[in-house]
Amino acid sequence: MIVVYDGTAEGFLSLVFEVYAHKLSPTHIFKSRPQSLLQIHEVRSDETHARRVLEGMKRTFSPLHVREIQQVLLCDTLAFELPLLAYVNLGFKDPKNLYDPTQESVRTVQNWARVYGRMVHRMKGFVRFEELEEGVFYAKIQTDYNILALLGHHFVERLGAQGFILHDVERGLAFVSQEREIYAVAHADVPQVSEKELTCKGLWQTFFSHVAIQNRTNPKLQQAFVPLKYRTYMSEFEGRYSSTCKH
Amino acid sequence: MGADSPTMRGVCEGVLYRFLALKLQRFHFEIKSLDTFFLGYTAPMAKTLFEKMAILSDSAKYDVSCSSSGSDQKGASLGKSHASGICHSFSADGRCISLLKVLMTNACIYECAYCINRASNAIPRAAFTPRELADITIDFYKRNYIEGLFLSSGIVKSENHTMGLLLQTLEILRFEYGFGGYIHVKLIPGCDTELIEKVVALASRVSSNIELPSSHSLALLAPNKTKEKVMQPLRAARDISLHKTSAPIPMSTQLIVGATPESDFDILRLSSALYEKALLKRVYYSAYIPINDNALLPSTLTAPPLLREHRLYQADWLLRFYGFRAEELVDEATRKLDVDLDPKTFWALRHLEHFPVEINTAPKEVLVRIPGIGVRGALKILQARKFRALDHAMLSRLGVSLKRANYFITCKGVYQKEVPLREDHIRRALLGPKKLLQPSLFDWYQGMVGGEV
Repeated sequence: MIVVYDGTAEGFLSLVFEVYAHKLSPTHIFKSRPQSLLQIHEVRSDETHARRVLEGMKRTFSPLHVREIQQVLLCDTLAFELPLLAYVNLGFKDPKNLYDPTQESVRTVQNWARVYGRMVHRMKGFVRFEELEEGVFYAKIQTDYNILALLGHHFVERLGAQGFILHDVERGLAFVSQEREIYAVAHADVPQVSEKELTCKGLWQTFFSHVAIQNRTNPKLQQAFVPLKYRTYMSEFEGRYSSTCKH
Repeated sequence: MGADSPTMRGVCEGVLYRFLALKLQRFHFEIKSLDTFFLGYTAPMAKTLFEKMAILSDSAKYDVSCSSSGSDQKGASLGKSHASGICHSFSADGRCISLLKVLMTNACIYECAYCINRASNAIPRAAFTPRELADITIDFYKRNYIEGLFLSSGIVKSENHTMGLLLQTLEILRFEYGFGGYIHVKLIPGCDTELIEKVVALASRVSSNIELPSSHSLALLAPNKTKEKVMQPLRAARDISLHKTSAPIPMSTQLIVGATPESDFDILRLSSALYEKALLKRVYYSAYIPINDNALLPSTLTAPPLLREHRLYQADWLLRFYGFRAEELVDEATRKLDVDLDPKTFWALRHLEHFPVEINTAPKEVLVRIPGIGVRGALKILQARKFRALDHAMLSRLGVSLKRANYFITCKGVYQKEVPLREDHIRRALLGPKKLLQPSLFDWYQGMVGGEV
């Protein structure tokens, strides 16, 4: 059976609800309606259903596993639906199953959660803020998965009273520190950077190039630690290795 | 604290300097002579912030310490450290950048043969003031370039004067800016204990570099240092920490590899002694990069021994996280780690009586001794075998690499069939057909720098 839902976390939880309510057994799950003459079951996002499934999970699974599920739901560019559904089923049969790495869906979900976590951790280091004329710090990010909320809260703890905006350009979302909220942003007119900004960036680039030891140059090692896809908004790699360059 | 104590003097001079600088700027004087006054050092000094940054990060880059983990400053208004540490970038040599690593000044009255900043070298000199350095740190931190500051310096005027300058910077950051990020401070060997006490109270980590692994080499190449002198601030810092109820301050040191004839055996014995005395959290190894011409040192054409450095880091990990003792890895008879094989495989091949190990029953401390299986692999195996007996296929699916482990394990009693359990056979299987390589300049481009735990 082919199932379609709207691609949101709420939608997926509603899907889980319907799987149990109508005894569905999906063979394919799509985020958008495919061109097909086959019978397609459409899931409507339903807040009550989603909430009930989430409460059920929190009651039954350990907090660790609930967190894993939430992280995988934020991997919006992955086709995570079938393995995640299998994982949730396994957990509702017996929550102990989720500790069993010999089960394929457990391994798959745990690996995704680990990849997601690694991406968050790397970005905690690789985000680069610029000071705007108004004294607000602004950073663009470009990531495979939606990690805005976790990053935002990390920087709220860090930067204290300093106002900042984290802008996920591709997803059209922005985390604003004062409200600790994520807003949808169609397009942003970002003001000029402050006068000091160029000096700081220049000092940083100077530091970056001088701290490397010439006799130990090892671009492959560097790239293993900072893959090209992370370099888009990192000023120390500006113009040298943008993520669009061919190797 | 008396008015004539060393810190006071350091602070006074700092204040005097700022006061003079203001006056002089008003009269459009050159600041050059003032730097001379400030440092007690006569050499052309860099002027712009950019020149200073270039010179002083160049001078600091040979210190490998890069950790930013395991500290927690309370009650800060800006900044917070992260339990696991965060790497903010990686330089062209593949080393992690997590702290702003510059010297306060690269002027130095010492004459250490291996060091770029020794007094007799004709290199451009520069100095940051404590204020400049603190401001740059805050600017960098706000932009998420760094996790904090690595505070170190050449020795100017005296050990106490230098320590005082570093302490001033530390105090500006902690007290004026309420900075809660990571600050690593280099303790200056030979400075007063009361200065160390102040630093320990405010720093996230302190270090003092032994650099050369034996007293003999130190005497030969670093006339201003002795092993006792280098260890003294670390011991003082430990004693101060022990008196406090709070967690002891993490400490580290660095050893240069390949500048002097000490063997891996000497180096690892020294490291493990330092770890066992609970003196240090971390020993860094730095492949010697020949900078100065000196008859007692490898010539400036020698390539840095990066592979040896890598093997030492691997061995170091075995000491700290795998329950190995230094004597197991190298001993009087084999004073050198194997170049082709990692230290654990090297050990296993010499102790085949412990193998093969049955994956389904071996305890954790035995599992981590299997070549190719690390702490994470062992934990995966322990977790999975609670549910079912594991075979080779399941191990692969769990993501445990069998490339090396295969020759040292049985799964449900089954041992691989291709290679008999004999040292020469396994070694050949592991190394594969050795490619005939034309040795080239780039042969040593395979160093891998240890991460931070």
